[in-house]
Amino acid sequence: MDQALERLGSVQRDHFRADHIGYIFQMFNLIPYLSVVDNVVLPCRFSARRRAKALARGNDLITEARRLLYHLDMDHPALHQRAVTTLSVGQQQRVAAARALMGSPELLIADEPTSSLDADRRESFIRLLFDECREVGATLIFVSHDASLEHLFDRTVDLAAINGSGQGAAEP
Amino acid sequence: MAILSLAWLSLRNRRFTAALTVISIALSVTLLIGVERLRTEARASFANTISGTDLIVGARGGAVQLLLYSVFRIGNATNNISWQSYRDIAAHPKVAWTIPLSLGDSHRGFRVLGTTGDYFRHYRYARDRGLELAQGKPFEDLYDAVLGAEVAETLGYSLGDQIIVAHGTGDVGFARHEDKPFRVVGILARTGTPVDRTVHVSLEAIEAIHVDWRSGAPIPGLSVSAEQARQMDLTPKAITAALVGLKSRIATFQVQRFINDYPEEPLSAILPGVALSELWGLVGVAENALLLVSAFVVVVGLFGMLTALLTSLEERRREMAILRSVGARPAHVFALIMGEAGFLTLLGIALGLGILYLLLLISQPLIQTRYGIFISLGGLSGYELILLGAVVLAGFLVGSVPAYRAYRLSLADGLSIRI
Amino acid sequence: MALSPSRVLPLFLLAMLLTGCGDEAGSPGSASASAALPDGAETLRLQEGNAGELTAEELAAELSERKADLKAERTAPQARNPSEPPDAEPAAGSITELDWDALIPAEWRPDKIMEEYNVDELADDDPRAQELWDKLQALWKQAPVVEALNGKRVRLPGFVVPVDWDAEKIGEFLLVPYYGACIHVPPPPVNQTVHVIAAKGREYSGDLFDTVWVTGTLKVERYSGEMAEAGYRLEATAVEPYE
Repeated sequence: MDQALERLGSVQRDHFRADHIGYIFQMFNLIPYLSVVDNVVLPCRFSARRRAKALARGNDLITEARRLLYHLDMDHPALHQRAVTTLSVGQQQRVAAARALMGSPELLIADEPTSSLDADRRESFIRLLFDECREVGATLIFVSHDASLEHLFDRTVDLAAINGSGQGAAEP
Repeated sequence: MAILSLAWLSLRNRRFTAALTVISIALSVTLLIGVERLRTEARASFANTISGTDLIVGARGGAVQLLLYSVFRIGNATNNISWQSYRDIAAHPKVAWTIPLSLGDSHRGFRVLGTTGDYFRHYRYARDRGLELAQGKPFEDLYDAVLGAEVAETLGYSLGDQIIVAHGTGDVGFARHEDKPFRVVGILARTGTPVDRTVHVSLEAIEAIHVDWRSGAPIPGLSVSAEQARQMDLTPKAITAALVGLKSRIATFQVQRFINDYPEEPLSAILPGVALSELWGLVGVAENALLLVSAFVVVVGLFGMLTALLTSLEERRREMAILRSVGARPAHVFALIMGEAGFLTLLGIALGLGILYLLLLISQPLIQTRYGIFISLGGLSGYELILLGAVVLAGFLVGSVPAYRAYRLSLADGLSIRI
Repeated sequence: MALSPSRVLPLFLLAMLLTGCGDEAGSPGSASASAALPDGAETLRLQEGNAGELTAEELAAELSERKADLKAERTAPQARNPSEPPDAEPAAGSITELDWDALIPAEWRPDKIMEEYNVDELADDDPRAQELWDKLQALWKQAPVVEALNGKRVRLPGFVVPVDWDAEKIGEFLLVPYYGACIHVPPPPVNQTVHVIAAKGREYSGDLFDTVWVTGTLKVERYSGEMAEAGYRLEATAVEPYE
């Protein structure tokens, strides 16, 4: 994980992303023509390392996917068979989280994942995320505009501060 | 392979559009292979119609025309050859056998052929098969008739039935030889050649039915009854054509020259193989044109696929971003679209072949009855497989266009959300 | 390269005439042959025409061109004189490449006939010229075969005239040295036509008038008892396109 990313070629960067990083977008995270489980299992199709790590827990991929979904409170058999487009936003975000966690990547990047969730769901989602990240030992980078969430996190970085280049010194 | 299963699921998700594309490719494949199959089967049918005959003799005229009316019963002769000329040819030292043919009458749409017993002895088809009687025997009595298999089947005749022969090729009331009915004494086994669609009678019988038709129409008040005709001298005055077999094939050109130079009458002798090749040369142009048109139709079908895939790309940019976020490389995106194109093409081909065989199954008996061409339902020939391979290749080529576009888009978009 | 059929027969016969001419006139500067053909040599030799007609010279020049082409193809000419045992006999099992002249026996000597006529002094409209022409034609028709070739393994080029076929292949065909079944020229004589029978499974896939090399065993076949007529039959082991 100590690699200087800027020096990698684009193909190598793709490999790196596949092996070490899980993403959660703000919305529309899922491939519409894949089932819930198939969506979760996706990273293991593109990274042998994550696949190996997922299988190392002693089960096949589908069982592992279900385990994660269970932890994220999404493990109802009825839900699994539904087309992902019929799920609510909250459900979709949780599936996305399971996908990002699949195969224990070292880094999780979440881009405003709770902006489309209603307030009461927000905290529970983040709690679930924290639990999982702690369990696999992943670092979570959470991008948000919502200041009320700040207290949950270990470290905060202001984007304006790190975006200092070309804009003059920004106020931290 | 992850990408292939993704491609399959992606198509299934858009199954309505995908089905339309598959159908359009399928129909074009049906046309392409159908045209090729018809072409080769028709050729095979023609090639198998006659064998073992060294020369065909007729009045002077075109070689292809002579072949067509004497063997294939297509078209008409412009003139006859006199009986004396025929006897002289049959007497030539190098000639082993001859079969005289007299055409010009019909029975309910089927041609009537006047000939002798030599026809049943010497006529060969499909390399070396002789004519066999499924029922009955060759003609003996003056008014005996032997039917081809198709005639008997279509008109529902059996041994002992009576038939009336009409003059010319149109069967209408005022042109029929009603006073001289014929009796069916034999039915030939099926040959897959124009023999099946012919009614065979003796040369003398043809003379007999025309005995009071001297000027091309029945002379009123001058009719000769069937029994009276028996008493007359029924040696033919002229025949339409003759098939000739030689003692040795080496003498073919010499006998041909003898007949072509025969001083008493203008005659033509052709080698059936040569005339058949000339016939192929004539139709060859049409065949190639037809194949070209079918190839274009396939291209049109593939363009339909191109359109379908390209228009879907705009909606799928989000999908590409998600895939890239999960670790897919742009090459994977390329492979995904190529996989979809490949599936569409292969499904189109499979469906097209299915439709083709279904059509062949339905139309095979119809084509056999109407045109005498037997279309086999066998597997794909080598050439047909090559054509299909070309379609697959074309499909992949066409698929590479949207695949490349998707590749570029996913590179440009990266992981950003584009809805 | 085949000459058009309308030229071959007059060329051939004219060449025979010229052979006669050349001997008697002893024209200078001609790459001439003697009237008595040496044993084992070619049937034809050429003369620079001295028949006094422009056309004859042109024709002769063309014929010499054709002869040169054929010479290039020929390997060991088979003994054409049956009274002489063939020398330089190729090893048993080897294949001899023939050209069409090899199928005409050397002892068929139209020049003997021409010796009877004083060809030099014959004008075109002299009835004896017509007589000569008729006699030469009759000889051409008689077309005797070379017995010594019976049983030999040979290789011969020519054009295909199909005689027995099915949808894809030609099982039997006549091999001829020129094509174009034109009304204006007599057909190839019997000793310039070979009846080829392809071996089972080795039939020829092709068309009328394809140019091919045929390899196989040449047989002399009698087919008409009364006139002692015979022709060539070739049991082919290979039929290949001609390059």
